[in-house]
Amino acid sequence: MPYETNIFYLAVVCYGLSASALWFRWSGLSFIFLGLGLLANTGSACLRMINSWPLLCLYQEPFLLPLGLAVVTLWLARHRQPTEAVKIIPLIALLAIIPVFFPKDFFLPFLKSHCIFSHLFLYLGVAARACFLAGAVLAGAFLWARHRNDQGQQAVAQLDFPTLLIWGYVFLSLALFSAGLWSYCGWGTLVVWEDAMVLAIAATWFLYACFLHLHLNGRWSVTWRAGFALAAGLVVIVFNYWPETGKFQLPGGLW
Amino acid sequence: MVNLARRIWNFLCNLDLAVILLLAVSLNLLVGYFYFNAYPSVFRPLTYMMLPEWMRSLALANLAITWWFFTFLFFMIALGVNSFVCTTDKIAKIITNYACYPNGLRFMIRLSPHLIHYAVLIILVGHLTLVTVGMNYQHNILRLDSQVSLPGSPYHLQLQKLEVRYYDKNAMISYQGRAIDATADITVADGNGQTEIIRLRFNRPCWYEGYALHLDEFLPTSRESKRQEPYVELTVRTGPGIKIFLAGILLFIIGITFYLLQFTRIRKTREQTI
Repeated sequence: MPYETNIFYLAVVCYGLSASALWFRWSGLSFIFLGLGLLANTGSACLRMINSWPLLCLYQEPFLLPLGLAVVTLWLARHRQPTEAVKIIPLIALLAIIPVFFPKDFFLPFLKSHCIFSHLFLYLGVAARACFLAGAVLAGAFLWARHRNDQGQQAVAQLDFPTLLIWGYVFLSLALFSAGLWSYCGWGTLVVWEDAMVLAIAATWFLYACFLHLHLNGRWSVTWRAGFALAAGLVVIVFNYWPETGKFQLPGGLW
Repeated sequence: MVNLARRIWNFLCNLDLAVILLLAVSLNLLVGYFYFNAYPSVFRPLTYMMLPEWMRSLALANLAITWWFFTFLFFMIALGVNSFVCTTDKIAKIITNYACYPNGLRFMIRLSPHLIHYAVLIILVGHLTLVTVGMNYQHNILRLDSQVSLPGSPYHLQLQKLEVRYYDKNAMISYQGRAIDATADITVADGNGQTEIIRLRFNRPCWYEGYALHLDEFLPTSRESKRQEPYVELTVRTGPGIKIFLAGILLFIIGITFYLLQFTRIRKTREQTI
């Protein structure tokens, strides 16, 4: 079994322990396990990248998304409130375990990926989706705090979920530009019509553009915007994340 | 007449309309996602064909499958017009009030969201230009012993030398010996007997006299196939689409940089308030 597979499994265990520690309200321990999981996930991703460099393997996003979310969570814990950041940890644990049982069955790089823009497209896309999903979790937290009439949590979440979505939008825009440049370098066109994902990603971009217009002009109340962000997060899961996963199989030396 | 024009302008310069159109485009694309998954063979030729050619041949013949593409184009045109009108309206007001801004930076920051809108419009125009204007010649196969003419020009191309790099690491055993990069030296001869050698790399297009040359495929693709006669397959394109697209990206990056400057400043103020 390749090293990177074992290291990724280690990351999954750490993320699982991090989520479990939350169950017992040991948030300090939870962050320690999250940090360890992030280290293992980064190691696994780096090994994978080094092994296939200068090419790129397809369908890596499910393995990288927990990493992106862990970075966002630790950033929020460091710069904002840890009580808010911990809400993302269960999602990280869930998203980390999915590629273990549902990996997609094509793991060799393909020649056309020999382009710096293909790598940028992958990593910027992961950063974008991590921000969108973390934003969706915080939007859900805002709605929950509002339901419980918790003013303090509302104020924090109200500020942070749009910030994450704005950063996600910036990353997704840059990812789309990278995709366009990669397509031009490889195929001589700006859109490669090989996979329906191209439409799903474009739909996501327009959806978040719609959110930004609603947010920046304050046309909708914060509650409605939070609902929109939550729904948009579901769109990301269903149309961006799920197509990158494969059929059920027991864990093995696949990644 | 002036009143009518003003009313149309005001109708188009409407943020609610923008929100509705953005949602409509997004939903339309999600509908297209299902159609694409169900009938990929109808849409895949779009990678290699020009848009009008695809519309005339495949799209109109399969309207039950491709209808969403036409509604998408309609929504995009409407969104483009709406964005242009809104942005122009706002920019005109900002420029009129230029004296109110304490310095150039503040002015640029105020202008930045609108620069982003213009950038997106330019990018969309670049896309449209690339798939509608200019030439798109596929499958130009160059060999060591034969010449191919560059379409619509006096130039002839011939493969001079092909260097292929193979994967040699131990990490992916099943990939060992497969090609990971190629560099082709191509002789370009004009009608007057003048020759020039241009170097073309895989995934790195080369521009020559207004032509964009893309190395699309090559042989050998592995050490096992090394004994076969080498060839490269070129895609040749002309047209200003990519330059417009790049200009749009540049403007977007400038706009987003100024916007994020403003955004982080406002955020810090709000954090202090909380």
